[in-house]
Formats: sequence, structure tokens, C-alpha cells
Amino acid sequence: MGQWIKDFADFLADPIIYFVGSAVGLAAFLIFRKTLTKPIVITGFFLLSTGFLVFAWDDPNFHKIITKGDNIPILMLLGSVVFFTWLAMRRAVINDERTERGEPTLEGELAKQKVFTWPDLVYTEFICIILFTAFLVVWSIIVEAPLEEPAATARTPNPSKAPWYFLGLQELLVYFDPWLAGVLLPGFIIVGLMAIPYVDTNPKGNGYYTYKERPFAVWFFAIGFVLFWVSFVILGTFLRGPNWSFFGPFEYWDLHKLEPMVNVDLSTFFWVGALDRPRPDNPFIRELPGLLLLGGYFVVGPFILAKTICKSLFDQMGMWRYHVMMHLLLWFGLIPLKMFARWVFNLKYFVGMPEYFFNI
Amino acid sequence: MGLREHVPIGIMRELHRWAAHLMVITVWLHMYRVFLTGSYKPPREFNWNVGVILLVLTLLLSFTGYLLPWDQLAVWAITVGTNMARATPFLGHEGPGAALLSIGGLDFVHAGDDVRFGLLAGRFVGEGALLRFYVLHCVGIPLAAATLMAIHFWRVRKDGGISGPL
Ligand code: HEM
Repeated sequence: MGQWIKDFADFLADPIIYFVGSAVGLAAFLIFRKTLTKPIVITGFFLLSTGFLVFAWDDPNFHKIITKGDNIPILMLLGSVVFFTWLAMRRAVINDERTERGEPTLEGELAKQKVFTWPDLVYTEFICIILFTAFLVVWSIIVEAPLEEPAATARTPNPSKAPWYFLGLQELLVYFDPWLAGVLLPGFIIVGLMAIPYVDTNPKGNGYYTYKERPFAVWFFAIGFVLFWVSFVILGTFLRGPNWSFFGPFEYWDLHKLEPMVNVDLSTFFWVGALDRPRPDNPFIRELPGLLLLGGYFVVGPFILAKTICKSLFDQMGMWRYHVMMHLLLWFGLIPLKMFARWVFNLKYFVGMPEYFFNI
Repeated sequence: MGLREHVPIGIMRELHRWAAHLMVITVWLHMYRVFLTGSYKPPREFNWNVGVILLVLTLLLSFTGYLLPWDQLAVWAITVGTNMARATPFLGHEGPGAALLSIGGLDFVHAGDDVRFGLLAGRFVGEGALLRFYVLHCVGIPLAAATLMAIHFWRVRKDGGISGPL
């Protein structure tokens, strides 16, 4: 029985199943939010997780990865993101019902009862500081901060991981070259975050949790933050081992585990696969299919969408806002598209021009 | 300089390291809650942007601090992290477009002058990088972050206090 659970957990943790499973889970949570935001659900989740931790504690491989000093905060991250997502949706569901009945939101009720900064707020803050400090001290006594051997540039550890908060970006390196995963996409994240207040012109849902008044915004941020950022950090921390190969939580980190990489460029699919002839020498002709595809996606796509399903959005936002938002969203959308193309077709690059370090 | 970290005074290193991790997590959660309550909407757009810069500074603070223990974990994590800069379009020597910036076989962008070199003060993570990261971690970023935090809190008040239904 025990071994069966471990094997099953290793199976579930496979990157594809892990990602698709998390996506389905998140979607189910948002869709069935009325039922799933009942207190019993979150209680059950934490009880089950605790049970799983207790069960898995003795396993040497699991124990090693879970009790690493730097990994403990990631567990806290997991717990708190689950909890706060649940809490935010719970309040959103309650607020939506209250609004329907014409009552003020929970936050509206709160705003009526004003308290004083001094002493009420400062007093509460003081207690929190003391409790937090005590917690930190206990934690620091129990868990020692890691200190490995002195730096040696000649010896590369395997795996070499970036600091944990960048592991989501390191995970993207599986699918994209560094200029996208490490430079362009992070840049777009920052620019995109900054653009949010200016492209979201929906005046509703300002200052209280709600789902119904801004469903797109809620889905967008839940997917971006929970699914693509936090879940990738967790994947990178706990499930990626030597050579960035995948390892289940109960699997031994074997240095020699090799995952075969037989990925193929789109240009090969097109010239060799479909037309049955060698790839042209000129890189621009060779990559024409990919260039056209991406050109269509980024340049033509927004215009077609503006005329069809996004027409009301376009009219409401105006041309500039619309195009800025669409381009940011299309870059974001490229990530799952490439992931699926890799999983399903073993696609390496849409456009592969190593001559110019230009691979997408 | 690295020595400071090699002499653990009781639990000081732990306190600092775990609290730093928690700060990153807290900032993420703060942003999550600000988004889900729509608190970036007018009149708080400006403060949201101050927040985004604070988020970047928090990550950089943590990133520069990660190198300072000067152990294997630190050096290689920073190596992996800064390797990305090599691939910056036009500015990194392995980035798209960099090869275009050359005249008569003379490359303008190469391993000795690209953005990665600028970050690390060298071609690899060495003494120069340690000094640069130390100064940024202990002086530069804290000053910038403290200033922005002051502005952030001032704006919370100026924008009518913590957001609530209008
Ligand atoms: C070093 C990092 C940061 C610190 C110390 C900080 C601190 C604070 C504090 C104490 C408040 C008031 C209480 C609260 O709403 O929780 C606040 C409000 C706010 N923060 Fe931050 N914050 C930081 C980063 C960020 C980030 C990353 C964002 C968004 C990208 C952000 C956006 C905002 C906004 C829009 C408000 C006003 C919220 C409202 O009125 O409801 N902040 N911040």
C-alpha cells in the first residue's frame, strides 16, 4: 500500500501531468467556487496534506528534499498560496451574493467601523511583531542555514539551480532559449504588471474581493501567478534534479538519469516531413513557415480578434490600450502553446536560427 | 568580506536568511491580494507601480545577498542567474542581434563588455562580482528600497487610506 502511494505520487508529479493537473484543479476551483470555498474543503486539504507529510516523512528521498533548509519556505509558500486563494475566492463568493441582494460587501461593512491608528492599530502591530519574532527565533534555532563548501569555479554542482524565486524562469528554459526565458519574458512580466492599472479600465471591483464583476481579471491573475509562477517554483524546487531532469518526490536523484531529447524544429517538419526535401540553406527561407506562423500570431492575430470575438473589448478600450494588452497576452500565451507543442509534437523551435541566436 | 558570513554568531545567519525568504513570499502575497481586491485601480495606479519597483528591488536584494556566503550554492546560483544576461538581445554576446553590431570583423558586443560583464565586473562570478554585489546588497538597494517604501506608505495615505468599496 505504502509503495503504491509513493509510485502514484511520483507518477502524478511528472511535469506534464503536474502542470495539466494543476491547471484543471485551478479551473475547477474557480468554476465550482461556491462549493469549493466551504470551510470544510480547506480544512480537508490541510488535513490530507499533513497526513501525506507524516506518511512520507520516513522515505529517505522525500525527507532529504523536503527538509533542506532553503526548501522549507517553499512549503510555506505552497500552503499560503493555497490558503489565500481559497480565502480570496470565499470572500468573493460571499461579496457577489451580498451585492446581488443589494447589501454592502464584507469590506464595505468593515469600512464603517473605523478604529484609531493609536492605540488600536499600533497595538495589534506590536503583538504581531512579537509573535513573528518569536516564530523566527524558534525556526532559526531548529533549522540551520545552509553553508556549503567554499566556492570553486572549477567544480560545477549538479543540479545548478538559480535562487528559488527564479526557478519558474529556469523551468521556462526547458522550452525557450535564454534570451526569451531569462530576458524578454521577465521583462514583459515587469512591464505587464506595470501596465495593469492602465489597461484594466473596468471601474468595478475596486477595494473588495469579487469574481462576478471582473471574471477575466481573476482568471488572468490566478493563472499567471498561481499556475505559471508559484507552481513552477514548486516544480523547480522539489521535482527537478541533476541535469534539470524530472524526479518524483520519492525518487532517488540519480546523476545518470538521462531523458532522451529528440526535439525537432518546425522547419524540419515542414521541408523534410511535409515536402519531403532537404531544408533550404538560406536561414530566412528555411524558417519561412515559422516566421509566417509567428508573424500571423503576433501581427495579424490582434487585428482579426479585434474584428471578431474581441470586438466589444476593442471598442471599449481603444486602439492603443487594446494592442498593448493583446501583445502582452500573446507573449504570455506563447508559453503554454510552446509547452503543448513540445509535449505533443516534440517541437524544438517555431523559428530556429542559431546563426543569429534567434530561436523561438 | 565573505568571512562575515563564515562566522555564525548563534542564530543570526538563520534569522537573516529565513526572514529574507519570507519577505519575498510576503511581497508576492501582498501583490496577489492587492490585485484580487482591485486596489490598483484609480486613484492607486501610481502606488501599484511603486509596488512593482519594490517587488523588483526585493528580488534583487535577495539575489545579491544570495552570493555573499561565497559557497558553492551561492556562486553557482548566481552563475545560473546571470548567465541569462548573456542572451540579452543586442546587449549580451550570445543574444540575438549582437552579431549585427560589428564593423569589419570588430565586434562591439563580446564576452568582455556585454551586460553580463557589467553585472559581474568580470567574465565569471569572481572577486569583482562579490564586491559589486556586496555594495549593492548593503548600501545601494536598501537605500533605494527604503526611499520607495516611504513613498509607498505616503501614497497609501494620500490615496485615501487603504482601499475599500467606493
Ligand atoms: C517591499 C515591498 C512592499 C512593501 C514593504 C509594501 C508595503 C505596503 C503596505 C504596508 C501597504 C498598506 C497595507 C496593505 O495594503 O497591505 C501597502 C499597500 C499597497 N501596496 Fe504595497 N508593499 C510592497 C510591495 C508592493 C507590490 C509588489 C505591489 C504591487 C505590485 C504593491 C502595491 C500596493 C498597493 C496598490 C497598495 C494600496 C492598497 C490599498 O490601498 O488597498 N506593493 N503596501
